[in-house]
This record gives sequence, structure tokens and C-alpha cells, in this order.
Amino acid sequence: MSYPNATPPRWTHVIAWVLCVVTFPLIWVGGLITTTDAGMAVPDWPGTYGYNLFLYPWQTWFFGPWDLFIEHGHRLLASLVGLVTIGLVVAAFREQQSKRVRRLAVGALLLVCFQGFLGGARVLINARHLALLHGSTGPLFFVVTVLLVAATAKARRGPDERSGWLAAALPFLLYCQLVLGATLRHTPEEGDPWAFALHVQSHLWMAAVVALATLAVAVFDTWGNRRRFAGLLATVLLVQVSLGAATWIAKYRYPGWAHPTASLTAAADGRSLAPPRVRGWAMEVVPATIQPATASGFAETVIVTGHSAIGSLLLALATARAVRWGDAGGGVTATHERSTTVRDPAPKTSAASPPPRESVLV
Amino acid sequence: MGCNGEREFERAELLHAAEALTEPQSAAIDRVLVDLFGTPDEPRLPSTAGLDTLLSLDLLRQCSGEVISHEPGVTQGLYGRHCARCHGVTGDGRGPTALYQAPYPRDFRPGVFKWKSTYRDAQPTLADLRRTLDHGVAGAAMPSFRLLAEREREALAQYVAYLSIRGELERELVWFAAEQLEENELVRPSDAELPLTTIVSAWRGAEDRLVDAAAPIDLRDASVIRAGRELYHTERAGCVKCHGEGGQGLRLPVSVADVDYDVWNAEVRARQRDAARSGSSRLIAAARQAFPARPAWGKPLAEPLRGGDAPTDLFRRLHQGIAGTPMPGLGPTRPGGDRSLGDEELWTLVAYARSLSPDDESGGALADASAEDVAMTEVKR
Repeated sequence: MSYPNATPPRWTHVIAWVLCVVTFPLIWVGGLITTTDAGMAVPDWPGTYGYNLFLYPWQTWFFGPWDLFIEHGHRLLASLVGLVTIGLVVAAFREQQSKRVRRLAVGALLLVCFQGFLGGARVLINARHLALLHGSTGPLFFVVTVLLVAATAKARRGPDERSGWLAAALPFLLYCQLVLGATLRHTPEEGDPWAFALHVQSHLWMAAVVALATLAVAVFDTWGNRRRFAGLLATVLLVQVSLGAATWIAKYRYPGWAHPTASLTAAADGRSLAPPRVRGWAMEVVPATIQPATASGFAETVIVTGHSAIGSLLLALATARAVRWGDAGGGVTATHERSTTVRDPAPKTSAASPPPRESVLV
Repeated sequence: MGCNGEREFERAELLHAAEALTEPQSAAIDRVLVDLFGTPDEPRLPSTAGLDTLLSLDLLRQCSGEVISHEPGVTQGLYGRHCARCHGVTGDGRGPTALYQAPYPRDFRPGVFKWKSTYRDAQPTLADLRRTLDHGVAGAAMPSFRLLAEREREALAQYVAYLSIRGELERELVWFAAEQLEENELVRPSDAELPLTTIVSAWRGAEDRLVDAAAPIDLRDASVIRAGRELYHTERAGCVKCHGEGGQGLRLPVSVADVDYDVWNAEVRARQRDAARSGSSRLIAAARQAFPARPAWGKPLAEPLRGGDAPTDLFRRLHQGIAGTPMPGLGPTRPGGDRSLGDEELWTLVAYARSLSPDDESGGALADASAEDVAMTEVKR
């Protein structure tokens, strides 16, 4: 259901978009900090080396050590996100947005404060498990920004009967996968290798589940005449799966089963040669022995960070898709209807108008 | 992790269990090691045999503890930041990410290192450890840390030596307790003095045990490469047996007779077998935690080589073999000793191996080669 003649949300929607767009690079920079283990490059919080966060000498920040650059930069960008969120709350109340939007905006503000507190606590007590929590809350905030964009948009599409429940479940599956990935990235130095192996296996099995679910949604969307969104979803999924494989190779090179000597060991043990056959195919594409990576090198850093950030992007897209379906379901729209009716009662005839064709987020 | 939250080095449980030490004996060894070497958060450096002049406690402290910076650009906890997730806090090669890596990250505790410029039974120099940090290891997860500050790489090399010396002493004390002490006797601090002196002396004396690798021949000369190829395929050199025809690596079919293990995997494998027979619950539990042993195979030479492709690296590898692995040395085990091949013959093999190298002299290996390698390259041009 849509309201083409209702007063369109103005600043709230614009600010929601700004917030969503600014949050994505923040997730990249946060991921970069984890990749390069730069979280403790600044030992105090909320200040930076005793300075007020905003008064830290920019020359030292900009031309100083790399880990200081990204950690302090992360704090500045996070502050910007916090300020934009405050602006969003103010706009939502000034424009008398629906209760749902106002609640979401306040929720976003509380979440961003909590996230900032987590980041500070991670630094102050130098705890890696808080870094894991901080890294898992970031994408959650990103999801809320997507919800805000969707909630403040003026038009929505109808439900997709075939993929509805799957599209609704996809963000939850993706978030679980994201948390599993975060546990791998935040493994403590004294962690147990068998526990890590279990995490790796869980992450891989979940990757298969999530990839199949995402592909299914993309296929249903293609049938449902949402080809652009389906194409985007499938492309991001492909990039993400490729980055996952590249991340492992960038950090750990070939795993044992894919190692050039795997076929020899298998043959000597009289075992099946199936995995080496896979490896034989892989060796046509990639060299058997790779030159060493460079720790904190550009390519390695971008690949590993990209995998975590694109995971959040996939989650955001899935959320957008799920919300469009959910919104058209009725309950939430009714709240929206009441709200807009108070501000600018729409003629009854407009309710019968066909929904606009433009999509909300894509 | 200690009871009060302070981290501790891991005990070499498989070794303790395999040597049938009692828990009090193992605990006594732990105490001696803490007295001498401290903890991962607060390292100590004994002055035995001049260890405190070989290594710097300040640099070790920079590597130890949690990762944090107290001034811009100066990072504490370097080992935890860059190494421990693969090599483990103790340097036992059992960091959380180690299991799926091939090869497994190096266990520093036996004090055996593959990539070095010294004789096979000698310790590496600190410069050798630095070189591995600088270049990384091709084909393995070990990256190059060339982007780290000079001082940080030096500190990490020293910390690796520190962990290795600590691990070597632990092994010596376990063997001492197993062979010299009754079940109710415990290792005393004074028992550590003699083995520690021997271990430290070996590290301090590494500089005196360099393999001379001066090469007054042109490695690009076709006749030299041809001679190397012929020698490579002879029974006398024996290269082809593991590295395959033309250096292409071993090809199928292979049999159980071709399987061999390096010292790290061989030791674990033997103890896992013992565990099954022993009935000792402690040994069985420790063996279950150990990684599955993997065979060592001769590497193809037409790919980037793990220990580097620089001519002097190759010469030393042929001369002394690769410590800890089935790769034998073709030179004498000590200066002036008996040898399978002369230096000139070894250099022809170097020339042949380099002619197979995919990136030849233009790759990173030669760019970072030692001064004599660079000079040799100039001659070739």
C-alpha cells in the first residue's frame, strides 16, 4: 500500500540515507582496525593521547603511524555517525514522523551510544572479547540505518508470495554467519586450535546455507520481476564468497587438503584421490606455490577487510529486501497510515492508485 | 592462563607425558622455567652464559604482553600481534589458527630451524631469523614482515630465539628428570645451569659456524647449468629421488616406502603411536590434542622455494641439507670433513636449480639477496 499524495518525509529520509551511507565506510574502517590489529594504537578513550578527540593535532594523525591514523580516524568517523544519528532523531521528532520511525531513530541513537561505549571499553580494559562484541554490533547498527531508510521512504512494493518467509529469514541467517566470522577474526592468541577449527567449519557450513538462501531469494526475485535487485544480491554474494576464499589464502595460503603434496600423501596412504583431483583443477588456475604475503600489505589488508565489510553489505541488502516484504504485510503500514493521515490527509481515491514502480532502496 | 589472570607459557604436555613424568615433577620444571624466563606478560632473561648480552630484555618486553601503544607508533605486544595466532604464545606452533595450515607453523621449542646460514647442527644466527621475518616463506602462511619497523623485526627475531631457548631448556629438563631422577625427586633450579649454558653457548656460537658460500662462477653459463642438470639426475647427488625428473617434484605413483617425516612430525607421530600402546591416560590425552602428523615431500624446484631462491641460500641448503627434514646435506658436516660433492659441483646444482626458478633473478628473493649475491648478478649481466 502506498500514499503518493501524502507529504513525503523530507529531512528524516535524507538524513537516514546519509546515516546509512556514512555507516558503511565506518564498518570498513572498523574492519581495517581488526585486520591490522590496530585497536590499541590509542590507549585512552574518549580522548586520544590526552587530547580531546576533536582537538588531536591533525598533522600527527594524518602523517603519523598507520595504526594511529586508522584508529583515530575510526573514532572521528564514529563521532560523525553519532552526530548524524542525533540529527536524525531531531528531524524525526520535528517532522512528526510516525511512532515507528521515532522509535527506530531513538533506538539507533541508543545503539550507537552503546556501540561507542563498547569501543571505549574495549580500549580501556584491552579486551578482545569486547572487540568481538563491538564488531558484531556495528553491522547491527548498519541494519538499523537500513530500516530507517526503508521506514522513512514514501513507497513500498507488494509482497512476494514465493520468497517471503525466506527473504524475512535471510538477514537472521546472514547475521549469524557474520558473528561466526567475527569470532574467527577476534580469536585470542591463546585460543585453542581445535576450537578455532570448529569455528572455521561452522563458518563454512553456514556460508553454504547462507549462499543457497541468498541465491534462492535472488532467483525468486528474478521470477518476481525484480531483476535489478536479484542481480545485485547475486553479485554481492559472488564477491563475498570469492573474498572469503581469498581471505583464507591471503592469511593462511592453501589448506592441507588443497596443498600440492596432498595427492602424494593420499596415494601413499592408499586413500581416495578425489580431493587431489579438485586440487589438480585448481592448480590450472593458480600457482601451486605462492610467494609469501606481506603482513599488513595493501592487497592482503583490502581482501580481508573487504570480506568482513561486504558481509555487512549483504546483510544490509537482505534487510532491505525483507523490510519491503514485511512492510507490505499490513501491520506496520497501518501505523504509517495513521501518522501520515494526521499530517496531511490523503484523498480516499489515492489509496486505490497503483503503487509507484520505483523501488525504495535499489 | 594463570589463576590470577596472568598468562603463562604452555607446558610441552606431550613431551612430559611421553617421558612419564609425574605431575609434581612437571610442576617443578614449570617453576624453574618461570624463574628463569618469566611469563608471556613479564619475560625474564637469565644471565647464564651471557644470554643477557645475546638478547635484549627491552626488546623482549616490547614483544611480550597484550597489544597496546603507549606512544604513537610504538607498539607493545608485538609477538601477540603478529605471531602468536599461528606459532602460539609459547612458540609451540599450536596457535589457534595452526591446525588447517600446511605446513604447520614452526614449533620453536626443539631449537631446530630450517632456513639458516649455519651448519646443520648449529643454531641459526639472529640475522637468519630476521631474514625469514623479512622475506616470509613461499608456499606457507608465514608472511613477510618487511613493512614493520627495523627495531620491531629485530625484537621479534630475538623473541623467537628467547622462546626457542626456553623450549630447549624445557626439553633438557624433562629428559634430565626422566633419566636421572627418581619418581619422587624434583628438578631444582641448579639443575638448569649446565643445560642452559650449553644451549646458550650454541646460540652465541652460531656466528662462528657460518657455511662459506662464496661463488666465483657464472651461474648463467649454459655449460654450468648443463653440468648441474646431469649431476642432479645422478645417483651420487640423489636429488631426483625426491624432487623428481627435471625438478618437477615427485609424481604419482608413490608408495609407503617414499613417505618420510620431518623431526617435528616424526616426534609427534612416534608419541601418538606410543600413546595407543601405553595405556597412560595422560599420554593418550596429550596425543589426542596433538596435530595429525604429515609426511615431508621433496618440493618441486620449478616453484618459489620456501627458504628463498638466492644463490647463497641454495648453496647452503645443498651443502648442509635442511635441518629437521629428510633433505640431506651434500657437503661436510663440519669444515674440512668428508663430503659427497665438492663446492664447485654444488654450485652447478645451484645454477641448475636457479634455471628452473619461475621468477629467476628478477623476483623478490634476489632483490633481497645478500651483497655477494648482488655482486654476482652484476657479473652475470
